Amino acid sequence: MSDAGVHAADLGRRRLSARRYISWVALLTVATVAAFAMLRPSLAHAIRETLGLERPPLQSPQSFYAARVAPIFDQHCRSCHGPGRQKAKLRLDSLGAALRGGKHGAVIAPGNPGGSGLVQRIALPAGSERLMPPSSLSPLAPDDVTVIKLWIAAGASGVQPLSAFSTAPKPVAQVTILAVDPKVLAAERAPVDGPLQALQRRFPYVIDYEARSSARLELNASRLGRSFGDREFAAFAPVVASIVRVDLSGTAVGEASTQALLAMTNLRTLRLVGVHAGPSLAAALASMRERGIRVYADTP
Amino acid sequence: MQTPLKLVRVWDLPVRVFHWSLVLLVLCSWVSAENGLLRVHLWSGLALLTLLVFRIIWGFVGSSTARFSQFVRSPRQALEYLRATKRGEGQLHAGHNPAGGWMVLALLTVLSLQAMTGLFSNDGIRFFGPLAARISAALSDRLTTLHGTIFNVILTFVWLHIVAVLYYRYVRAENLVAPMINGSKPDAMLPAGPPPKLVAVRWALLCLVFAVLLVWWILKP
Ligand code: HEM
Ligand code: HEM
Repeated sequence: MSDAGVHAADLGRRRLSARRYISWVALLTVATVAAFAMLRPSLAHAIRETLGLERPPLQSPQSFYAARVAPIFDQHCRSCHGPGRQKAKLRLDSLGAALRGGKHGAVIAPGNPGGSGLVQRIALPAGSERLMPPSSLSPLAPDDVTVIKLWIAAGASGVQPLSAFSTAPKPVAQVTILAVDPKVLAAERAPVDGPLQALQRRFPYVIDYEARSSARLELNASRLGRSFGDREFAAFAPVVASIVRVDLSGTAVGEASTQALLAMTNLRTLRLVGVHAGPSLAAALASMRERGIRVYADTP
Repeated sequence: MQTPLKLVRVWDLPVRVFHWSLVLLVLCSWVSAENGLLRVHLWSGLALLTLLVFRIIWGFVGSSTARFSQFVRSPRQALEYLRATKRGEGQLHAGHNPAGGWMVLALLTVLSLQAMTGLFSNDGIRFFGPLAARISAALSDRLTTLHGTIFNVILTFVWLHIVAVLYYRYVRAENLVAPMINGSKPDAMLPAGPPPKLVAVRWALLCLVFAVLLVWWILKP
């Protein structure tokens, strides 16, 4: 077919030259990217910083930020606001990024903790929809919240030394990790190993030792959602005494699992967010709380 | 001065409905993900996955302009076509041209990858894609990151796609959008020879039912 056919179909519309068209497209593309950058302050900052037009905030390794604040962010926030994931386009894994904020702008207002979105979100009552970290993850300790508030009140600086924060809550003592004797560990694990392997085949990625050096178990069935119910939970009976942490959030377990939960004599943490607790389960949860087990559930 | 244009049907109804549903579902998936509406996101993603399965089947059994065998040409032919177009001599095609065929494949591929990684993604809090429980948490996290990355590729491809379609409109004065809506091109825009062979809509419905069953079978617990 010759180009003549195209001319016949041309309804008298004025044509652009290819070069003109490409120029328009290039212009529009740049404008769109620029508009995105303006709407996302963090993107604009990142571009300016890369081009050397903006310096990252000053930081010292001896600062209160480095010693007390960054570790809280790393432990509790980084999994969603870090290198892997940037929920709400917010990153808290560096001071520069934290000060820039996310999709909805800054979350830290230096000198004004009350006006800082970050503080508002971590200070919400437990169970609130907007609480950070979200209620199915491990919560901040009240001291953590205080540390962050004090830091922001003093200007959210990367250099102010520890000594400038004499009223800050004392840090929790560092845990020292003891060397394990492999023979002792193997002996401790021996009674659990067999049933554990059978369970791991039946429920992949649901149960495992809590650490390489531990004979205690951790059970997390929340990824299985409603396909995990009382009958499935009952299959873990042979190892209940070794389980120290359980997450059944969002699963279909209910009243019928009350006895199995109470049989976990070494339980330390139990998560049941999104699980409907009937009267006997609710009573069991209350008694577990009294025994010092940390229970996270929708029921008070 | 203009003789009335004779219109020839080139895109069957299933391809057109597929196309504009795709556009709506991509937008819906985007907006829902940005706003944390993951229930909506799940359903729009599953609908998209089903449509893509349907389109792949239709690419083998559908109307002539929908078939891969008809519009997938060698990369050399695609480059030659582009060079000829630049000189203003590109040949006419009833369906996708040789360069457009590659764009269609590219779009279908990235959209499929997006829907497939979505099935294994999680939101780090309480939402898990329907297949996330079948892999380790670490792998699910990595696929979630990939899910976010591929979407940027989709945005780029869609942008190129629209730029190409508008190129025809404003540089070559060929309107490709109207045919994607009403199905027909004026016969002056078509090559000589017999018109495209269209397959009846009821066969498309059968393919769609098959696609639904296939997706359901993959996801059933
Ligand atoms: C999310 C956005 C979009 C996606 C994912 C998308 C995807 C696709 C795909 C997969 C095809 C091949 C159709 C098939 O053979 O089944 C196609 C063709 C087409 N699309 Fe889109 N599209 C998008 C947006 C648009 C928009 C906004 C327009 C109009 C400006 C448009 C105009 C066209 C046209 C005219 C064709 C036919 C091209 C030809 O004649 O070869 N698309 N698109
Ligand atoms: C098959 C069903 C799908 C499922 C189950 C799914 C699941 C998910 C999940 C769990 C997230 C993470 C959300 C978060 O971190 O808050 C996500 C993000 C996202 N999804 Fe999907 N998805 C699916 C299909 C799609 C499709 C088809 C598209 C677009 C064409 C899409 C676009 C996105 C986007 C843009 C994000 C945000 C990524 C980011 O924030 O980095 N998804 N999806």
